[in-house]
Amino acid sequence: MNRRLVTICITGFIIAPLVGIFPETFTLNPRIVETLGTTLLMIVAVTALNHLIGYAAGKAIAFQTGRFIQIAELLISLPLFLPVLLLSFGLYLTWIRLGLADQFLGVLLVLLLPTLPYTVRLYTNGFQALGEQLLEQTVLVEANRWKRFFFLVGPLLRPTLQSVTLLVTVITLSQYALVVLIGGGVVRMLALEVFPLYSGNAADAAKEATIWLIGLPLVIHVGQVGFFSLWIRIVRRLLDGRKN
Amino acid sequence: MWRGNAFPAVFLIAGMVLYGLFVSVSMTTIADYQSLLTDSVLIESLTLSLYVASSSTLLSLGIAFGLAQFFTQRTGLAEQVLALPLFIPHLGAAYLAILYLSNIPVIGPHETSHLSLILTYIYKETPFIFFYLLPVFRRLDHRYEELGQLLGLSKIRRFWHGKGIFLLFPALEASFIVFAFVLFAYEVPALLGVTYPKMIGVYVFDLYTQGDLSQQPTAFAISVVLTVCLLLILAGFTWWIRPITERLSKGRIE
Amino acid sequence: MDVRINKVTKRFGKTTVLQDIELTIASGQCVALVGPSGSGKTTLLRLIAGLEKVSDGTIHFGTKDVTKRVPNKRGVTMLFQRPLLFPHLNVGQNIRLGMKGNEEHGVAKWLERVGLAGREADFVHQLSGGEQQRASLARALAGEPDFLLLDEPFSSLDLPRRRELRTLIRRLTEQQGVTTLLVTHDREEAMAMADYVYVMQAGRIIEQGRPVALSEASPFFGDGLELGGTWQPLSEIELVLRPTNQVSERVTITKELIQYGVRFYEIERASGERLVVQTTERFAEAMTVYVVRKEA
Repeated sequence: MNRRLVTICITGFIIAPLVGIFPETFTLNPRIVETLGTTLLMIVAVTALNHLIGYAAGKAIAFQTGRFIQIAELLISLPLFLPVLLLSFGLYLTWIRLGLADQFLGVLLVLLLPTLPYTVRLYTNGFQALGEQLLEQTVLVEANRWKRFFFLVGPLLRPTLQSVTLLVTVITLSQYALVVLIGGGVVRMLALEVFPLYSGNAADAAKEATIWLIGLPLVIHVGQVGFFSLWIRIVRRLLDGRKN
Repeated sequence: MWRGNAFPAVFLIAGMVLYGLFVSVSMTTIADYQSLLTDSVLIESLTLSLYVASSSTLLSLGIAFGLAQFFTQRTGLAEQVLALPLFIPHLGAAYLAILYLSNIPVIGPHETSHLSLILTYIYKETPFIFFYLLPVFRRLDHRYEELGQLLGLSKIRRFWHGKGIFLLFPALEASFIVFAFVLFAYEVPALLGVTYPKMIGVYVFDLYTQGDLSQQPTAFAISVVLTVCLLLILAGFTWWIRPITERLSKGRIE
Repeated sequence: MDVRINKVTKRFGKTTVLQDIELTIASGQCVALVGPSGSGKTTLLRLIAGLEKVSDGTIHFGTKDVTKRVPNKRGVTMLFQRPLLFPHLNVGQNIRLGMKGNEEHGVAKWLERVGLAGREADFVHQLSGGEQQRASLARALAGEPDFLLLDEPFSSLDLPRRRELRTLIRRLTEQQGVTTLLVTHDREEAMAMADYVYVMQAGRIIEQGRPVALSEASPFFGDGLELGGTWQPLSEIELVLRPTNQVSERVTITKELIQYGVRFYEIERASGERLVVQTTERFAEAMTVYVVRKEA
């Protein structure tokens, strides 16, 4: 079979549905715009937590051996296999007691459940691909942890870092039920406005909402690609300037 | 931190999952579980969910498997194109189904065939499984199959020993993840499903949030039962595959 | 079963990787194919195994033309660089996979022969590298092939294991009368194993001959070896001088050198002729050694 032909077929199936989502008129829906602040803040917070916790855990799973780490890996994967939404009923009652219900922080914590397992996997694969020897090499080259990350490990892990940010953004944006339940309608995120629009009849408003839903991850991704290019350019420039 | 630290992740995730389960259990009595046995709405909802989840998973797996096999050597543009659906939140993918399939009989949203639902999941999950399996396909050592040929093994055994055994567990794992996800999802079936029977995620969520307080123990009981079932399946699965995957990963390094 | 490669050419697209290869292996012999990496020797091996299709020319096993036969109809087997034991099967199951019939004690017999007796139930990761390659050898020979192809099977092993495996392969193939073709980039290895050597470069055979003769004459295969090293106290010993002789004779050891982990000895025959011989072990009575070259 011809590779080009198959590629064209796939492209057709995947791209064609996206052609019709552009609304005839694009009016900034004020209700959606209002949610953007919370939405972006939530994305930033969830992504940052994912990177911090996932980096450490992924590294541990990639390079530690023994029974503990095997069990840890399994425990971290639990939300991939279990009904997270149903379990959050119980969490909601606890959050009420802890004063976290209907709070930004409460939603933030619960959003770790559908995101962090993927993040840890991505980091584990990333570190395994780098390999222990290369990582040990970076330790020998640069002793300072922060400099090591900035000059070596960060640029080496670029594909992983990008995938994590992208995936976490997409999953976070998609959560309606979890946010409604834990946020109690007080923590207003994009999905809370989009969801009712999809059940309604206003086609243009729904299309506009979809543009936001798909556009936001895209913009964030383009942003991070630029960020990483800049990062690596700075690293190169600094290294060029270093005197031996 | 030199070798990483899994404690924060384990603490947060296992803490929330197990505590959530614990609270759910504590909200129920034996009678709540007994009443589930005769709950015909639940049974219908479960049957539907299993149908949608297994057909979505099998179809996505089949397509993704074929594509990953086809593109093992070189992906070219197809890799970028297949990554596109990963950018699209499930909610957005569900809207694509509303937008294009609405007026089509049988396939459209709110039809009992639930094909729009299944198609949406194929759109979203095929790339997921594809990118899950692609590196596995790329790491396959084709010399195992050549060796099988030299040893005079039949085509089927050659495939099994040379490729199948290395692909089986990653494929099962990816399928398990997709299956559980589809089975309990809320957003997509709430938008595309019919009013009766509902997919299980929608049914339980609505029971908890929209029903009166007397319904809540039932919702808790259902989540406990489903969670425990999946935990058992997961435990069995892990117990079964762990020794084999260990052999596979250690035995290949040499 | 002798093997004849007749004017074989192999092209990948427009690139010709093998050009008019002529090569014969007498039944039961071990022939080495030596050359730098990229010279086409592994491709030739894969053509003979049937894993690649010949573009031009023919391959005969005995009187049969096997050019178009699939690998499993050729009576040929191969040891790869890595042992390639199936990791989900244990050692016994791996060997049984190679066996044609369902001989009851077959597996145990083969384990015994390669020095892995009692390891039947072990899995691949429980074996050392050398043990894995020996199990792989057992699996290859258990199918009772006429012809064994070796694609640098020693390259992943350390020196003592290499010597062990070389000796084992020679012994078992000689016992079973298996014709052997060894691909290697290591001259020493060819010297230690082969009865006859072909030297390849850039897809062609550029030299051929007995190892001894080649090492003297060939600019490609010449050893540039200077025996100095430690002087061995003169001693007399009974040796079989391969590849020419089959019976042992009394010789005197005059010099010893260990280089690349291989022992070279200068010996003097009763006739006064001086030879350089090679062995992988310390001298012992009636052992087989390989003649590397004649000294003036």
